[in-house]
Amino acid sequence: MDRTSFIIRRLRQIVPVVIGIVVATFFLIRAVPGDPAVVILGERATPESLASLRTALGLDQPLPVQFAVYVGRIFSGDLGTSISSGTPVIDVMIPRMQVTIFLVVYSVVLASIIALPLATIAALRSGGLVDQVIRAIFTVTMAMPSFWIGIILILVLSIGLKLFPVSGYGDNLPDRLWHLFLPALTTALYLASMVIRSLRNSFLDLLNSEHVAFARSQGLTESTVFRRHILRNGLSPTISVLAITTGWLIGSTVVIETVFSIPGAGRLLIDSVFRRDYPVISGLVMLYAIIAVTINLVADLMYTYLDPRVSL
Amino acid sequence: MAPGFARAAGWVRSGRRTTGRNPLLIIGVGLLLTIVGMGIFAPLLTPYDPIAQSFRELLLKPGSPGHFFGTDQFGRDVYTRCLYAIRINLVIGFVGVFLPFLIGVTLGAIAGYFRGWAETIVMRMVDVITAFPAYVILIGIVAVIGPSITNLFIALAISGWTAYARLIRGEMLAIRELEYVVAARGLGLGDRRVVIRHILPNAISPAIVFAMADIVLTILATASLSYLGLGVQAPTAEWGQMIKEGQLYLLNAWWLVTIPGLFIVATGVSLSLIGDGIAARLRVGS
Repeated sequence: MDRTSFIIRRLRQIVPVVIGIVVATFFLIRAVPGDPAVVILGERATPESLASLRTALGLDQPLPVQFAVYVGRIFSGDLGTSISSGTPVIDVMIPRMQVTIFLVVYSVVLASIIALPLATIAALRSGGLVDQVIRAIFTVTMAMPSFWIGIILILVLSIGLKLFPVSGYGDNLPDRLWHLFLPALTTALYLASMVIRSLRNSFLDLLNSEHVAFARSQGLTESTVFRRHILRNGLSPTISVLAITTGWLIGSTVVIETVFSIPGAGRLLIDSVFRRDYPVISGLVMLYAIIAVTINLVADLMYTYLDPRVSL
Repeated sequence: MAPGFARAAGWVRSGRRTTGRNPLLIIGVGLLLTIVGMGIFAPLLTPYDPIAQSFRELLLKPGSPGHFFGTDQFGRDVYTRCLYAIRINLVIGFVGVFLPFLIGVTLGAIAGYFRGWAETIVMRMVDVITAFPAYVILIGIVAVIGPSITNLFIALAISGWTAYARLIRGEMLAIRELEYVVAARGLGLGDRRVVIRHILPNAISPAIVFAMADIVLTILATASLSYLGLGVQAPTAEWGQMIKEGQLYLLNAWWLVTIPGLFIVATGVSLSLIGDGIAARLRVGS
């Protein structure tokens, strides 16, 4: 299958998923047990205020009409109005999601800086001490809750050694990088663990492959062999690991943002749950899913460029 | 379902003869049994109550007489609370995996065996649910139905079954065409019997391996949701809940977050070692 038809097919697979995401978030507020308006405003709300909230949420129409209105609004970029702040959901969400995406990109960069040298050492000296230690750290990291690692980093590096701020977001880029270093490091540790395992294994396969043996037999130095024949080929399977993990990473920032009091989308999600601000909750849930789907799609497309043999 | 599990368990046993002893697996089992024992015998291992407050013993440091892990902001013994939390965290870990396992294996088997519209519906549902990042869907469900232990199980079931369905469907697709299955069908055996007796026992081992990893993920997810205030609620002793409360006293009481976290790590590592050991054995078995 050539690349264009692969891309078309991959895009076609996305359509039912996106429809499913829209349907799921449509039913989110409607699945609230009892009357959502009463749940949001409380038992003592007046009938008039309940009725006006139902109208605002579109809950006073028959279900198919509600759905048609909902879909129509999504296409015009209208995800409803936040109950707690009265501003459009989209305006509340976007600045917060920018913070989260900055954190995610920062984590991915940190994870790559950690993972690449460690995976290389682990593969070149496979079975050696470094390899064993890396594997042990991987097992332990996977068993640690991310929020706990975050708090321990605060305890040791911020409170103990006073190297980093305890919380906050920073005003300009260097300040921001400094403020977000610990949260980014926390998520990067998980990401790096997974990436190291994947990279190590693909490097190891390549080190033992015939084309690398051939490259060596041509008299190329080890470092040239590594750069030209192992690094590039070894990276492509890791891209999909990275993509799958990044989808997971975006979800885990919800917890990390709470640990470090970062004003991102995750913190907004948790606050909205406690405020019962359902329009914001369903808007955010939809946005998270769309971003995760997009990352996976981009990764698949990148994969076809890095490894032209790929066909699905 | 029972014969399938029995067969899979037998597979694990037969693997033991060929692989010999795995020291990491033994360490994992030993650690887990110790933790489970500490949870079961908690009333014998500590004289204190996990919830009763004692305002004359607030925030005692670890090593204080009678409180070697210290006390919290309500004077409750941290060691006692961690022990009682083992009960709730481990039960949620195991039960919270069982339900998604059952749903996922059933739907995955139906999808992979019958194919057609059943497969389309199941796999589309899988695609949509897995499109949401795990914590986002858990929080979304809890936001709708409210935070409680029962609702936590519901949220874990809705979000967690998809991995099992994918694994089982994949195995089913490969196995359903094998000669022995065709023969079983040729003998006139019903679909139910063919699936449960003849296909599932050979299709289930990847799901069992994943379930072991999933218990760790479920324990971490439970602790995380409780930390966010959306899981197990105060004053119940639960590790994530304890860390949430402890973070408020981080500046002067480091032990309140550190010790419950170490219990989570020990539990997670023990289960991971067991999971890796079982995975190695199942590979040999096949």
